[in-house]
Amino acid sequence: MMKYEIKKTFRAKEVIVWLILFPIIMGTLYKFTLGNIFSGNQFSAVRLAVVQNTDDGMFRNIMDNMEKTDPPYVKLTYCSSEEEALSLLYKNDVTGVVVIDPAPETGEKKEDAFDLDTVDTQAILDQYLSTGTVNAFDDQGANDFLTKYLDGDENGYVKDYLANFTGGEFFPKTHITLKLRKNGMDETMAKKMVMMYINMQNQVREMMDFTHMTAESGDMISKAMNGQDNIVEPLQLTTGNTDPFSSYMYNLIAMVAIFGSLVGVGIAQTHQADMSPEGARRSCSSLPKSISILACFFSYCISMAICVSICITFLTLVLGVDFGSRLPLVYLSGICGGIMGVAMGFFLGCVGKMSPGARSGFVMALNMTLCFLSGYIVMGIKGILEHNAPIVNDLNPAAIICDSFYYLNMDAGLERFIGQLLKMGIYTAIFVILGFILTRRKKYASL
Amino acid sequence: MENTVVKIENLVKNYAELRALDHLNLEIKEKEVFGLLGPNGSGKTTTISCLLSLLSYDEGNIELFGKPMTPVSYDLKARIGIIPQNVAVFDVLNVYENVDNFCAMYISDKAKRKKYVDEAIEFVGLNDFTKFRPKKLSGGLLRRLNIACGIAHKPDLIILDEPTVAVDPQSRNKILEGIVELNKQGATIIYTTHYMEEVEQICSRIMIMDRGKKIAEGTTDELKKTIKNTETIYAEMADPGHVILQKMKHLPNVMDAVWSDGKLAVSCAGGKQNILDVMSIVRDEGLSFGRVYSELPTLNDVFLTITGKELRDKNERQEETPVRKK
Repeated sequence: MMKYEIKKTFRAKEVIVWLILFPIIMGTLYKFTLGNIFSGNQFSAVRLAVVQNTDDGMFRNIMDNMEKTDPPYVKLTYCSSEEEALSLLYKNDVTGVVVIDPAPETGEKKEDAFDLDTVDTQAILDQYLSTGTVNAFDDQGANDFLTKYLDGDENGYVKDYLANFTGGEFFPKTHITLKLRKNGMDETMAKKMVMMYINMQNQVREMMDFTHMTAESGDMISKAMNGQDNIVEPLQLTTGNTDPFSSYMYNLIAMVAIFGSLVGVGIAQTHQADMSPEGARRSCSSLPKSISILACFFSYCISMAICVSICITFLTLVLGVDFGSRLPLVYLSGICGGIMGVAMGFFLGCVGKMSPGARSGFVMALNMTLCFLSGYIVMGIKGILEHNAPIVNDLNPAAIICDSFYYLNMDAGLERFIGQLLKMGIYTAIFVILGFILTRRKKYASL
Repeated sequence: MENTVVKIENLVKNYAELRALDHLNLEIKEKEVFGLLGPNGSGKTTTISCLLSLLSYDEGNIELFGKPMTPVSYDLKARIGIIPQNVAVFDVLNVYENVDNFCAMYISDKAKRKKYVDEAIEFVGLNDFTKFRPKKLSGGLLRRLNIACGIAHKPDLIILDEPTVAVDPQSRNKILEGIVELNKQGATIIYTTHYMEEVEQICSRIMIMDRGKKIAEGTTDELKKTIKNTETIYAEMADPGHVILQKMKHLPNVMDAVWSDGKLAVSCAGGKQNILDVMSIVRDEGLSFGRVYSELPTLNDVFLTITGKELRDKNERQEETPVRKK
């Protein structure tokens, strides 16, 4: 009998449409419409032409390192003249042109503690690498400064710089100009990079003022050069996946799970004599109704598990959605949600008396409402309800499925996720018990 | 002595203000083909639903095979096959799967079930349609599938609730022949219909119902004997006029004489030469006539005599269209 119940499920149009085709079509549409919007994380290198009218070793050193990252942040083309660089810009071969000129003379020259013309930078570096400290200067503060400076050089920028230093000011004061042709994502990135360097250069030069030079300032400069010392420390909200595209796909799976109610309605309809001729025939059979209902329920749960698995597998293997290392838990949560959907449908199928078409319409409308309130359709609704009427989210089965995926996505631990699974189990039990109570009527007042 | 299969005593069922069954009594013996005849709304289906413990009732007792019938009388239910008025099959399963699915509610042994299902399909003549889904079947074939689903488990009592509604004559005959065959194989049959000719054709005993009450019960002959009308003479002719009709009414054995729709109808009670008497008046008055024929009384005449109304509308069968209530 279970065999035929499963067969019936997969031959029903509404199941094929809502539980199989719908997620495949919606997932594909999400992929092609939203996938590119959220692909901002896939950074493409900003192409810059560089004209060095004066030598700025630090700039070259930092930019060269940014070019060596994987993926590279910038792709540099060094040009001998500004005209050559601009011709590349006009041919769209580069996004912008960086021109490095000597800084205009202010007439006031600050005494620099690190006039490295007087010392051998390679020897300082060798000394540091062999002993872990710098002892090249008479001034202990300067030695401590450089030691700290090198200690914090995680990316090796300073070591590279010292190794390749050919003389002159340790941090030459330069005037940097960025020339762009248009506005755009790459142009904005180019502006940010150059501004970052200019700010850093000014910051470092201020800190390198000999009179303020301490070991701590060396540490700070190193951090600044490594991009670690931000004025505002970013707060780590989650260790999970914050990719909005994945969130949409989680919502899609949750939607499929709650649509299990469309399948569950069939349990009530085909077991009650006053709802369908098939129900009347079943009620006349020698098979106890409770056994028949349970067999039907388990069959539909299997069907739902298959539908949800098809959906998740399609999203993962065909559309390449990355659910991370918790993929088995995604399956688990989806299947549990699907079972709860079937149980909810069973309960809804038992409530009141209406035609099969009207009941399907009612269940569909209710599903859509629950999904809307859970933020499947318009993101943000759930948050508003959580703030103003949290009881709605607590009672909404769709929100429970939604939350399970949310916690799975965002939390490092599984405590809240397991809590949601338990809630699903409780809801499933409640719906099934209520369904049994409503269908256990032995006789009907009218057929 | 034959055992009593169904026993209904003083059954009362009310739908709000409407009394659907009014102290109904009924007893059906083993291997009978029992016809439950009545116009639409007379309470036939309600009686069947109460019998099967699907409907609650207000008063009375129901026993099947000598035991009280309750919703949990699974031993009794195993001996019953129901062919409901509305076709009760699953559209998404094919013919074989439907029969097997319903048979599985009674028979768990797979090999035995396969044999029974094959026999049921063979019995209703759907061998060539086993892979067809119900929507691809004609009204008659669909009704046959409905029957196959109800009889596959070889029940002792088969209840057929208007199984020939909206069925073409060929399929109807096939169904009726099948019912007789099931009875020959040992099944007791309860057959509800408002088609008197079907009841006359297959039923060994008949109960006529109207407004929830039993108005007559017996064999066809017994029922016909309850009315005085033994013969009705028909003559196709123009309106003979009031005077001639009165003359005919005064003939010996003539109970009534009416003219309508180009046809004279003279009802007679007893007598052997009624047609000659009637035609002599026609000849004497110089009336021209077409076809002349005589008919024996039908159950409709019985119903008409008892209730004063027709069992069903004349054009009812032609107007019916296949309906599947889901």
